[in-house]
Amino acid sequence: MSFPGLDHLIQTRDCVRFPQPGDARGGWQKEWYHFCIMAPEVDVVVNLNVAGDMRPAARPGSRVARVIVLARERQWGGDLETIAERQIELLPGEVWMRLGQNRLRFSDGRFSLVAALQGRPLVVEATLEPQTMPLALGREVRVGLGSIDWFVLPRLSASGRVISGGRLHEFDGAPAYHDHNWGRWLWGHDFCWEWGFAHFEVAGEPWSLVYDRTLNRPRTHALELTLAVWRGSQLARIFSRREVGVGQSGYVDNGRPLRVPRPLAIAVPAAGGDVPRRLEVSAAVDGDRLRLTVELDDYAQILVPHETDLGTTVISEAAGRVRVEGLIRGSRIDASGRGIFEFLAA
Amino acid sequence: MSSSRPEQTVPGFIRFALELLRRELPQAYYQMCNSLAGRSAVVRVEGEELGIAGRPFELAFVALPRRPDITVETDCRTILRVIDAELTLEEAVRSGDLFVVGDRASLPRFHEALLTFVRGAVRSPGFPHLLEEFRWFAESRRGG
Repeated sequence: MSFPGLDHLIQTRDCVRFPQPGDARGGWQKEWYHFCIMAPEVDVVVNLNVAGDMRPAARPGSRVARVIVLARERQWGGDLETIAERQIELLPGEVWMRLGQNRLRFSDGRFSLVAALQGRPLVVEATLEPQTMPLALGREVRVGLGSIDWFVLPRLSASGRVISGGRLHEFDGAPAYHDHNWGRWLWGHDFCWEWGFAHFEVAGEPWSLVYDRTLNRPRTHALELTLAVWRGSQLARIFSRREVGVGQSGYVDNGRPLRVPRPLAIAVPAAGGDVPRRLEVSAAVDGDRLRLTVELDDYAQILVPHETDLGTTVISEAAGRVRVEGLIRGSRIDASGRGIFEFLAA
Repeated sequence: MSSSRPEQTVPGFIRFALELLRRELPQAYYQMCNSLAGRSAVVRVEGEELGIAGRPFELAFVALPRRPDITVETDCRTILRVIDAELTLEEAVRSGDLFVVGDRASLPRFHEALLTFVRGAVRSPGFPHLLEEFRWFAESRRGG
């Protein structure tokens, strides 16, 4: 599906920015490309990210890249792998990166993504075609002493294959999601966030939504709060800040969840308490209203060593069922769907 | 220590790892020293032993203390299973694959030192290579 101006928007807003020379906080730069694919038998999360290498022993000005691939069949599997700097190739100004054997590019109206773990049999190869216009806030949100920007495509159509646990899963037209964070921040700064996306249908028409809330670490102050809703390909409504209320209840008891990188799991207190069993988001403005209820089932965790101290940020990726009710621009919504939500605790 | 490879013994790997941590992330190394200051430990892995004395700014490798504050005994396979998250530390202790003996005051300090070591190791660029080398070492020892 192609829309006037969409390719240009993706090329200019979703492009690699790294590195930005002359930046006094160059080492703080980060680019995180995130993809979720909900194929019939497997959910997949792929994250390709590049950052200034802030480890004390790193050479000044050096970069570090990490590839995260998670797949959820009956349970989550996957890993996080670090890519040597000599294997990092970026084309600033384009959506193009090669991190070792992992590749991402956008051309001819679609993303081409290849992610393959070296240490485990998990490979993802997909083309993803945007089905909606993006959400490009175009404003940096302050996080701690830094800032972060965000580009979101809430719905794409993914075709390709996943090899996971020795099984081949092929998919054609699977619902998918993509976002891109970039900016200058350090893990360990005073922030945390939660966000997620959901896909559902109303009278045979695809709808999508994206929720995000960025807070200070004690969760006493919201830095950003948005619930955005798309009808078909078009953004139908953005609710923000005071128009949005958030409630959580219970906690998912996941037993022993997958946590990557595995060695760091030794040093992080046992999981639990980070992912709510139920998330409720209500929003209303100018006659439009929406109530989103998310029931979360299980999760995997990405452990990110702080760059400011010896602490760890825990990013939980949770799959769930959603229920959406409301009224948007005259369309009554009463639908169920699926989504993937992320909870970051520092 | 200036060698770029550890001596191919378990004590050799432990000594190398701690020296590497001191070079690459001194913050973590000195935090470990602080946790273990004034205490001694014996680490025993598959029959090889290493004595460690905690000092304010050093983890010294010493002759085996007669009455260590902490004694740890395990094998290479268990170490790797814990690193790979196949076993938690608690499960390793409960299964009898990891013995830790010490008084009530020393054990939490040793535990904190171990966690600090892990937090430091994941931030040190030299550790992935060292871990690979330790895997080869453990594999060759099992095979041999």
